[in-house]
Amino acid sequence: MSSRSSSSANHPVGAEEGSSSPLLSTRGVSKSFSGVPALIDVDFDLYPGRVHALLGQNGAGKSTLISILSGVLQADSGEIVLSGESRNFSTPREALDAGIVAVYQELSLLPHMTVSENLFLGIEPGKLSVLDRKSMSDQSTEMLRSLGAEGIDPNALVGTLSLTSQQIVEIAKALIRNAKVLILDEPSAVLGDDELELLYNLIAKLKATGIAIVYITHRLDEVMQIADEVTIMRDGRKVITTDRANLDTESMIEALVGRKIATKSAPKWINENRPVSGEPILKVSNLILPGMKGKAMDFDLFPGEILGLVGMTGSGRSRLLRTLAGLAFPTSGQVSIDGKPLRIKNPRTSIAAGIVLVPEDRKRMGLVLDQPIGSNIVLSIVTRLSRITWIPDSVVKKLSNDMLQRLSVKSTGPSQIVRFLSGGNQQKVVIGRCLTTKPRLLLLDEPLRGVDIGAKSEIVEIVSEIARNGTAVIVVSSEIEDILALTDRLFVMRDGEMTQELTGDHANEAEVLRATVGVTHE
Amino acid sequence: MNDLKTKIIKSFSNGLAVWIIIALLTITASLTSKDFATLGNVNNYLGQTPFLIMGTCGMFLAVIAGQIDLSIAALAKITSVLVSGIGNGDENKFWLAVLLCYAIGIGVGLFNSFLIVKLKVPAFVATLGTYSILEGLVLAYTNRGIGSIPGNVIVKFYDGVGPFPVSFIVVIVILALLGLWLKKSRLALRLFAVGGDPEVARRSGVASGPVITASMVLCSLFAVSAGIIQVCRAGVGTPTTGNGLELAAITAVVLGGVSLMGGRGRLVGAIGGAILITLIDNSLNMIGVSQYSQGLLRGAVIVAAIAVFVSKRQQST
Repeated sequence: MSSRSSSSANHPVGAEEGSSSPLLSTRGVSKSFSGVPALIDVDFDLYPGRVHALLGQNGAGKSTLISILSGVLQADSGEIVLSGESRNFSTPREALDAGIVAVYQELSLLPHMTVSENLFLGIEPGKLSVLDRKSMSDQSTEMLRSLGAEGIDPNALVGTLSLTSQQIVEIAKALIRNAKVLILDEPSAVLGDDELELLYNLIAKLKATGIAIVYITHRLDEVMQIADEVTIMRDGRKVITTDRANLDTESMIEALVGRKIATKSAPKWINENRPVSGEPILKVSNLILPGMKGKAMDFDLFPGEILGLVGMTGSGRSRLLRTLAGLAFPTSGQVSIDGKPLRIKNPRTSIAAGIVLVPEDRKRMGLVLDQPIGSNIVLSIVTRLSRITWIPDSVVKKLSNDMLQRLSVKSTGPSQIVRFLSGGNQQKVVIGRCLTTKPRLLLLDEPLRGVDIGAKSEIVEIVSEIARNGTAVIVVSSEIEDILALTDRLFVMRDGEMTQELTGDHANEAEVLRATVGVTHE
Repeated sequence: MNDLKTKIIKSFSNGLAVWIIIALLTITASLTSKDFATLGNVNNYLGQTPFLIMGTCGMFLAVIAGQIDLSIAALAKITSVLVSGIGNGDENKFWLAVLLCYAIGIGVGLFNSFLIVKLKVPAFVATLGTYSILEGLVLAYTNRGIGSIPGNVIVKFYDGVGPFPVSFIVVIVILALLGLWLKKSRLALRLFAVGGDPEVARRSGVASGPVITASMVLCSLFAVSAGIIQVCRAGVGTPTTGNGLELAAITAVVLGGVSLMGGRGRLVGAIGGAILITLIDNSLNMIGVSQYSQGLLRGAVIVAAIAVFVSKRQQST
C-alpha cells in the first residue's frame, strides 16, 4: 500500500508555502452547541483540483465543519483562510459569493420550479429586475452539456427529474455560481451504484478544472476510489489528514474507531442472562420491507432478548421498526407475536398486539410537547382507561407517578409540561408512555440521541430492566458505541436486507464498522 | 380510469379545471335562464367581477409568498369610505383621496410585513390584528354611508365597449401586466422561491424578508384597488363595502389550484376561481334560487371542488 506514496503523495500533508498553497483552510476552528463542543481546534486544508474525503462517525463534527465553511454556522473561535486571506462568513450568501458551495443530502432545490430557475435563483441575469429568460435557458443548456447531462431539459420542473439528475442540477447550480470549492455531503447516501459512477466521472471533470472538492462519505470503498487525500474526524477533533495512498481500509477503520474503544467489549450481563428458551415472542418470515429490494428477512426474537440493528442511513433499519409498529406496510411476508399472526394495518393494531415504538424524532413523533407529563404517559392507553369518556385525574396521576418513579424522571410531577424537560427526561417519558401499553415487543429508534451522558446510562439500565422482565427489544442506533452498550446481538442491514449477524466478541466497534461499510473480513 | 383521474387532478393544479367548470356553468345557466345571456346581465356580471379579481390578485401574491392576508377586506372598506367621504362629489378631491388611499395601502402592507418579518408573527395572526384595527378606524370615521362619488366618474365606470364596462377593461390590462410581471421579473421568481422553501432560497443567497415585504405591500395595493372599484360601482362608500372579500379571495385562490403552503400556483387559476365564485352567485340569482339556499349551494360547489384538489395533495406527499 504505502509503496505507492510517491512524490505527489506527500505534498498536501506537510505543504509549506509554495507552488500549491491551499485554496481554503481553517485554522483552529472550534464550535460548541449550548456548552457541548462539536468541533475542537480543527485545521483543515483544501487544494485546487483535489478531492478531499472527510470521514467520521455520526457526531464526529463533519457537518459542523462544512456548515462553518459554507456560512450556515459561525465558528466560536479560529479562522477561515481563503486564498491567503482571513475570512469568516456570517451568511450563506457571503460564502457563496466567495465561491464556496455546499451540496447537501437533502437537496436545496425547489421541486416546483424549472431547472434553469433553480440554477439562477439569487443570481438571475437581466437588466433592471427584468429576467433574461433566454440567457438563463441558454447558459443552463451550456452548463448541463459541459457536465455531460444534455438529457436534462432546462425548462423541466426539478421535481420531475430523477435523483441523479437533481444531484447534477445541484452541482450545476454550484458551478454557475463560479464555485471554487464544492462540498458534497454524502451523495452515496441517496444515489445508487450506477448513478454514483456518473457522479465520479463528473467529479473527475471538475477536478481537471481546478475546483477543490470536499467529499463526505461513510463508504470506505468510495474513498479508495475517488479521494486524493483523506481527513478523519472523531469526537469533534481531526484525527488525521493524509494522502489516500497512505491509508488502507483497516487503518481508516482504526482511525475512525480509535484504539482504546476498539478493544472495549460490551457489558456482559446480556450474555449470561439471555434467556433464549421457550417460545419466541416475535417471528418474522419472508419479510420484504416497503420500497426495498433485498432478500426477504427471517428471524425470531425470544423473551428478554435485545436485538440491535446497525447499518447506514437508508439501509432499512428504521423502516423495519416502522413496519412492525404499523406505520409502513411490507411488500410481503408474515409477522407473528406470541404465535398469533399480526396484520400490519395501523399503529393501533400493532399496539393492541403488544408492539410499541419509541420513535426517532421524539419531539415531533413521540410526545405532545405542550401537554403535561401525565397526559403524555396515558396517551397510548386512553381507550383502555376511559369509562365511556371519562378518565379520572387520580388514575392519570397514579399511573404517571408510578412511571416517573420507576424511570426516575427528574420533574416537578405529572402536571409539568413536557417541553420544559431535558432531552433525557423527555425520552424517559416516551418510554414511560410505551410501557403503559404493557408491550411484548419494544422498538427503540435512536433512543440515546440528544441525551446527556448521565441519562444515557440510566436509559440503558431501564431498557435492560425491561428486557429482564421478559419483553423483547429491538434497538436501532447510528452510534455504534450506544448500541453496544445495550446489546451484543447485532444484525447488520444493507439495502433492505440483513447481511450479517454479529454476536458475542464479534460485536465490537471495529467489526460493526467493517460490516456496515461493506468490507468483508476473512 | 385512474389515468382520467390524474388528468383531472393535474388540470386542477394547473388552474385549468376551474375554467372548465366556468364553461359548463355558463352553458347551463344560459340554457336554464332566458335572462342570463342578455346584454344587460352580461354587462352587470362583468361589472361585478373586478372587485373580487383585484382582491384575489392581492391574495395570490401573499399566498405564493407563503403568507396570507386577512386585512384586505378592511383595507378595501376604509378605501371606499375615504374615497367617498373625502371626495364627496368633487372630482379633484376624489383623485386626491385615491392617491391618499394608495399611500395608506403601502403603509398597511409595510405594517403587515413588519409584524411578519421583524416580529415573526405568523401572517394569519398579524393580518387578523391589522383587520381589527382597520375595521375600528372605519367605524370611528363613519357608521353609515358617507359622501358620494362624482357622477362623471361613475359614468366612466359604467360606459363601455359593447358589454365590457371600462372597469372591466382596466382590470384586464392590470391582469396582463401582473401576468407579465410574474413571468418576467426577478422579484417574482424569488417570490415563488421564498414561498416554496425559505431555507432553500436563503442557501441560494435570497433573503426572504424583502421578498415577503414586497408581496404584502403589493397585496395591500390590490386591496385598495378593489375598494376603489367597488365604491365607484356603488356610488357611495359604506362600512359594509367589501365584507367577506378576504374569505372569497382565499376561496378563489384555492379553487384555482394555488397551494396555501406557498410557492405553487398560477394566476390564471386564481382568476378563474374569482370568476367562478361571482358566476355562481350571479347564475343562482338568475335561476331564481332563494337568497337563503344560495349560500348552501355556493358552499357545496366550492367544497366539492376543493375536495378534489385536497385529495391530490395527499397523493403527492
